[in-house]
Amino acid sequence: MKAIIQKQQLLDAIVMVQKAVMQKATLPILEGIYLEAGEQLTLVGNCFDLGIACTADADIREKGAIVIQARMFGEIIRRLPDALISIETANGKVKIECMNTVFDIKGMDAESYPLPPAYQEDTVVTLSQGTFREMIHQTLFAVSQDDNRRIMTGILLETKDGGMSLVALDGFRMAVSRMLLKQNDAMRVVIPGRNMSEILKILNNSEEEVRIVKTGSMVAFEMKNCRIVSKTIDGEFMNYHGYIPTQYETVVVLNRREFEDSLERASLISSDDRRYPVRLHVTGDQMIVFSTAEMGSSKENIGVRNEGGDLQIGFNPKFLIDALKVIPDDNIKLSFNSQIGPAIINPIEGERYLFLILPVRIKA
Amino acid sequence: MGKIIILDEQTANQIAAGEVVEGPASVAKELVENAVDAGASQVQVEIRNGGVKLIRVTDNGSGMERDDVELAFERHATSKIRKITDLNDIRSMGFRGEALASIASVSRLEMITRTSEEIAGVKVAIEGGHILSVEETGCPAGTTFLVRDLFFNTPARYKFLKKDVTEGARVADVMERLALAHPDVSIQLRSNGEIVMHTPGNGDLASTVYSLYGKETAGSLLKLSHIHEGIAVSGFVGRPSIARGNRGRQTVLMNGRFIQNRSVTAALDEAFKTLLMTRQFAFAVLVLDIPPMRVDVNVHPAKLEVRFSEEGAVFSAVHGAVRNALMAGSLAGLLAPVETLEAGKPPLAPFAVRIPVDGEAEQQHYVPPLTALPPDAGKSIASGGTRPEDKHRVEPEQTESCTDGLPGKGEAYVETSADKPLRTAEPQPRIRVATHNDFPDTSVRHPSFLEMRIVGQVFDAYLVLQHLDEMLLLDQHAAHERIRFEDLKWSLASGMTNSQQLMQPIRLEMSAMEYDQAVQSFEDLHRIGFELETFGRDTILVRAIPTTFDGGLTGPELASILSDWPRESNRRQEGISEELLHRISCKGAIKANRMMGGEEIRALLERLSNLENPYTCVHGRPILLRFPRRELEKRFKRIV
Repeated sequence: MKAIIQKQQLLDAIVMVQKAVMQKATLPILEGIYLEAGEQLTLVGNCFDLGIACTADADIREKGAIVIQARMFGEIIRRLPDALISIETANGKVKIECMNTVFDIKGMDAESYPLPPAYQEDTVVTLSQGTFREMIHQTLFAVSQDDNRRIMTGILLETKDGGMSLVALDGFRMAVSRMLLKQNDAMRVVIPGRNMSEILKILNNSEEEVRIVKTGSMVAFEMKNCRIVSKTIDGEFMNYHGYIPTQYETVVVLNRREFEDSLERASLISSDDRRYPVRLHVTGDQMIVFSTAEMGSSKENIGVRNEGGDLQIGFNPKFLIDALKVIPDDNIKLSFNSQIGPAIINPIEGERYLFLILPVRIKA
Repeated sequence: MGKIIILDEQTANQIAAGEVVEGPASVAKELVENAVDAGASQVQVEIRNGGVKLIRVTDNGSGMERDDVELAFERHATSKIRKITDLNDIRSMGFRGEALASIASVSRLEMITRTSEEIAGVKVAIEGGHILSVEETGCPAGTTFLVRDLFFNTPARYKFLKKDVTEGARVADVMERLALAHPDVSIQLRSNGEIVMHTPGNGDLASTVYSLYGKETAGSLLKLSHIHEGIAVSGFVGRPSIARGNRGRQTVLMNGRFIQNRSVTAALDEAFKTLLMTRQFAFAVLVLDIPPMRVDVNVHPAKLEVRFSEEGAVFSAVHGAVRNALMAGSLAGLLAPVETLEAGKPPLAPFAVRIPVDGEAEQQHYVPPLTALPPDAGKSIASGGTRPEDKHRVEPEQTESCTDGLPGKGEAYVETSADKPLRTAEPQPRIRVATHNDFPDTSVRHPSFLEMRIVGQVFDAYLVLQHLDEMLLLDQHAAHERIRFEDLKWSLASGMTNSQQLMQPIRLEMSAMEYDQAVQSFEDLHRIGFELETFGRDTILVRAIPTTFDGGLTGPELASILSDWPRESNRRQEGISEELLHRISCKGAIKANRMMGGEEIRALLERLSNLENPYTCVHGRPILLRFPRRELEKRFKRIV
């Protein structure tokens, strides 16, 4: 093969596909990037759980394919001057030329590279990259890190009733992000949270489309120059609707920023790995945020609009802060039922997101 | 004619000898104790063939007057007490008046003695209890005993003597303990002409330990100093690194007498718990000072066993003393060079044998019972010491946060710790009257952890660190387990156990037996922060878990916490089974085979620096191993 390509374009593609290349693999070829000169230049990284293929415009002089050790390839391209790069293969070697620099490095046989399988399209959902990005951002933090319950280490993507939701939960809290969707192919897949965080990095904040294609035990995300194929997690995702209460005893409306800042301040006195709960005390149109830790205690008043009864309840402040951080709105609705029932954070209008957080019972 | 006769003196003495004289070791012990009671400052002991052939004990004590000489070998002849009430205030080693008579009755004995006032001494020769001759002789002041052919006339006894080497070792063991009991007496032991031990007799216990056990042991001592209910405990314990597989290096001395007592050793074991692996025993020389009124030494003829009127108080005193010494941060012995950085403590150089502060021991006696330590009593040989109020107070662990682990922060910490006593005088929000099991004084930290350079991680299980001239390996799981254990203990002690509710209760199906055991432990588990309920036969629902597990717990982990319920006899911490705490801390801890990033490692080190004991995991395994640069250089043959 022989292809000539602008350095920046090539580097962008390498950075994208590198996310799917194994750092340490038993087979050396899995540590490589697959390069193919066809109509365009295609780069592929694949670690079975996740495969990323990128295309870049290039002047293809001769078709062909090769696999190059990813880390070295990336470093070489990164350090080359900002100019046209020529990549040429001969006898299993790759010649990389850029201005006055020539690299001659060993390549690996493209035939033995495990490319992500081709797939059939079972169901398809299309939405804008920017929206999908925000939805992932709003749910990713609640993904469980516990590999023993695999289903919870993923994000549920579900289309239903003219909308699409992403749902993540870890046993203590749940994050749901929703959007309206006109076309309505029913889809329900659980995508590993780890892959979602890579996808998040690739998505841009634009109106450009991303097609989400479900196919067997895989789900593909197709963008203009990039296609990501991720494994899905088998198993039954929790029926998350069941956890959401239908009515509330205490509903307060408050400023998100003010609440978040107050919780951050309350957590100052407990250390990172020995977190102490905060107590929220709703009385009339006031919410008092208390915290007591080994270092001392703090107390703060926040003005709220209380649409229900008074209540005292305790939380792991991190769980509240994590949710508040990803909410774009200024004001939010916070609803409770009892000391041991979940708290729900909602937008004042609509259902774009929902965060459910289980409280901490504080021993008096 | 009646069948009952009164045994003749001779036979009676031989029978009594069976109790007092078990072998050469007990002969040597009785004779050396007599020498000590006679005010000797130097005692030379010589044995041949393990003491079976000959035991010679020479002292420079007061000697005996001629008139006393023959009487001394009568049974119940003593100069040490006059009437039974004297026993209540017994300070001398002997008092029963049996030893000499017993020894004389089972051996060929010769005694040469002279008081400093008399010009000529006396030489007595006795064989099997019969005085053969008494004659004047020239000799130095003091007394010399020659005991030959032990048990020559009691073949039954003789048969039970062990090999010479064994008997010799027993003599040496007894001599070691006597030397520890009397650091002011220089004791020399020769066996078949060779000097086996020789103590300086300068009154310094540490030098005595040094002369007996060598420099490694002497360099790993932690000084004890503690008073509890009028019982003063001093002496030393050794760092875990010099622990042995038996109790041979545990010496308990009470009012100058070495004794064996189960509560004392139990207290020692308890204090070392989690620091030592099972079947390891700490080095200890415990010096107990107990008012003679409160102890009965007249339980056993050899006086090895004593009876305390308050066993519990003795236990607490010993436990408290050892615990204080251990928790004074000096376990950094594992990191000897590091220690020199801590709070300007004097380094415990192996060669430097320390002399205790003059009058320290006496001073302690002025303190009324039931109160805390005198201001300087906690002064430890190798540590910053423990303040008296600490025992009665629960102090929050992180009063000074060293959260940024930049190198050099350790010094900043040292400065702030200087004004700490002022601050701790303020009333704390949660004051509890604490027992010795309480959350310990947390002002003692280990700033060296913050100064370590993180080199990396190997096998996803061990962290490689560098500090000063040492390379250190840290077991990440053991370290985290220890952190969690101390956290858990703290939250229990402070009542801060909160329950994180679960979205979905975890269902645990158990066998009937596991279920029964789990149900029995509901109360304990509830106190820790679990919320559990039974759900039909053999199923338990977990509705909430302690907030410490904010990473979550899996079903199998929970099941193993709940069902492996320990036996009743298990020790309890804050009313919770210690074994359960161990298990819980283990479950939530990061495992081996996990990659750790620099940030994470840094955070782990920070937490370790705050711990009571960052050197061993809850099961007593070490957390840190050190490799001095010198050692590496030796192995690479850079130096030879």
